[in-house]
Amino acid sequence: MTTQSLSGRSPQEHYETLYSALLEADMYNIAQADKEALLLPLFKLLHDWHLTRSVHYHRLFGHTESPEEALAELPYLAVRLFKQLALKSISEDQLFRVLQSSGTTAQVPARVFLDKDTSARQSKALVRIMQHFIGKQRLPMLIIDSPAVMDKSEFSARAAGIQGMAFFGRKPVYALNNDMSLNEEAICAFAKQHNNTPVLLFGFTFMVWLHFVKALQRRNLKIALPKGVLVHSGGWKKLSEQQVDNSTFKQTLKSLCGLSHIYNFYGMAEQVGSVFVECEAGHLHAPLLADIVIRDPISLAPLPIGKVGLIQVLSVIPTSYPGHSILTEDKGQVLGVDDCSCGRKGQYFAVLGRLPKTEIRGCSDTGDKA
Amino acid sequence: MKVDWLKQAGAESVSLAALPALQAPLQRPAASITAAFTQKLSEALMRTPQCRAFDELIALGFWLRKSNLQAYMQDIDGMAKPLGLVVHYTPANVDTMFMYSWVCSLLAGNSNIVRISTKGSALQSTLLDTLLRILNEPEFSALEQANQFIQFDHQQVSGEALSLCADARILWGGDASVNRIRALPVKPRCRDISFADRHSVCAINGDAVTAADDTTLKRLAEGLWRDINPFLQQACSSPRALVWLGSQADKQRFFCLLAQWQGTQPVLENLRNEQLAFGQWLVATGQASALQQYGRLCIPEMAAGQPLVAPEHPGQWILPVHSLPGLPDLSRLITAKLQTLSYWGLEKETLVKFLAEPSITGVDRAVPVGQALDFSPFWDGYDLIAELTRQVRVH
Repeated sequence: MTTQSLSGRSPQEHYETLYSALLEADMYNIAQADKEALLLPLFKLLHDWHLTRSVHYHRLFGHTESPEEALAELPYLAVRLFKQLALKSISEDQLFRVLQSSGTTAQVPARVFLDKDTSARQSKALVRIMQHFIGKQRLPMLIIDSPAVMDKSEFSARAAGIQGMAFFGRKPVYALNNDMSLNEEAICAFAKQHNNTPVLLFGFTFMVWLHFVKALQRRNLKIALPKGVLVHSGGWKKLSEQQVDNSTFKQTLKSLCGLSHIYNFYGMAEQVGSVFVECEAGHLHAPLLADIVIRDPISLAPLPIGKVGLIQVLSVIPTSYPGHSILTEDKGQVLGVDDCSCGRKGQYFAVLGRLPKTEIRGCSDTGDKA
Repeated sequence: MKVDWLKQAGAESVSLAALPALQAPLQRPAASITAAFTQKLSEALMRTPQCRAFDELIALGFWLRKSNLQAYMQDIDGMAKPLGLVVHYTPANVDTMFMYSWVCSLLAGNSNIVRISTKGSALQSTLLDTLLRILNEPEFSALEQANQFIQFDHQQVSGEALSLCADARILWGGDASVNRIRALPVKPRCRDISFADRHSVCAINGDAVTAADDTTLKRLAEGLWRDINPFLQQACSSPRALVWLGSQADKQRFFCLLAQWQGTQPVLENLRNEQLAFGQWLVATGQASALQQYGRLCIPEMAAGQPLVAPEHPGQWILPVHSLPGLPDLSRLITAKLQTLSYWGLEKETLVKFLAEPSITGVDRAVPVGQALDFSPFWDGYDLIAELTRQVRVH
């Protein structure tokens, strides 16, 4: 930005200063009221930032005041817009990469436009958050995916997740072949080599289940990684269709691989980096860099603790695209604030599935093909 | 070709050739058996509790009343005879629309094979149960023989054999579906009546709104909501945009009354999000300048010069408003896709003069607000009963 703020710094410098301070702080020990006080000025800066840089954001919220008192005052973008529009707050020459959502259920992938700054912030944020759960050391890593996912010309959210988590790993081994079949040889060698040392496993929830757990079961294979930590993400939709819940998932992996440290996280392709990790008590926690607001599905008004509604996700990371405040199509509820038995401060919550799909009804519906 | 023949107690898989409608004798137009059947169906739809649970079925029952249907038949001049076998391809999810065109064909005396969508809804199964139960009563056996409701999976069956039986085809569906069916082989003289992608709008004269008292405006709001509410605004004749002509002074006043008219019935939990996603897309792309919420209705204010209805409009009680100085400004926004213009505060004579202009390629019907979904045999520019009969002249 060219205008100088009152403090004599440009808004960009102001943002960078505030952001760096947040990143240095403990991700989970600041109480909610203090956290909101820290986040509010950052979101005000982000709101004004995107107003002057994104034509779409300006058209939508040019007449909306920036939040004065509560994070819930921030306007939010419907998450579907990322599939329909090229939402950018940067010029073409600043574009570093375009991240595409895997779109496993959607035909049209979401596109997220990244510059180097936002991309770097995403990686560092993920590191700061995950360090809290898996420590700082780099562990031998088993990636439960196929190496082919990294080769695609478009940068997928899957690849971004793997790349982000790879920071914690060394000597990565892919557990699947290019055709998504189990690479039994690689897995057995990995397990043999590391059967009594800490290792990191990472994969997307339904791939871990479908291509790893199910494949091990089919082959009647068990491996022993008692000191392993599994981190997984990507949503439960496909698994709940198969009646697999979180506890079944954990128990099965424990019996098949001896894994007792399993961390699920909730995160959007539209907000890579600021993820919500599940604690030992089974609750998702908002890290210092992010927060959520639960909104009534009909009135869209913020809801109190315990009420089920749509999840609005907030992240202080994105400057290259206007994605700092997004209304998701996921349902959830805040379970509590500052008082989780795991000791982490801030809001903790549960994700309770997705909004139902709209049934297309119309005289001109083509749904049931001629 | 195998089809599932829907019967009172479920479905029976039979070969197409086994369907009695292929052999059944035709009826005279407006035969007394047909009138007795439609009257009985009308009463069942309006009186039985399971049907009364659906506004759409009550409306269908009301339309089927003897007095209403007789009026249609009086329009038939000369000697009209049925065409033969009419094959109906019905839309996937507007569960009652196909009934109107089927009844027109029935009144004309034709035999009918009606392909029903396999995507059943509670409304569809209630309707079919009632319909088949009455059709199976002994007094209607001639109609039962001449009319079959079937289902088949398009993935497995191309439907060529069925198409080749038809003397006329009635095609409900999106442009792509309609074209797919039209590509199937037919008899050389087969008639096609295509109800493809259309949309509708409502025009309200703002000057008349300003002059009107609250009681009058409440009636207008009630009528507009009656046009928008059914099928979540997804019927092709439901207005998907509002054209506000003249004075803007009382627009908000009217919208507030409209918000009050929507009642408090529970809505689907994804409705508001659908409205937000489409509304934000309109604003973000510059097609709309602002979004407002009035009760259950999402009302985007459209920017000047935008198409009346975006093809992406998903229904869902979203009513984009185009503000125009007067009727002449509407003409360049009308396309051939525009089916119904519902209107309020405009003189019928003015409208007739306006629509007569050759440059206006759309609008097949203009009706007062509140009647947008009332079916008539004049639909999508067709005179349905005339299309479904053969005109004989003896000189």
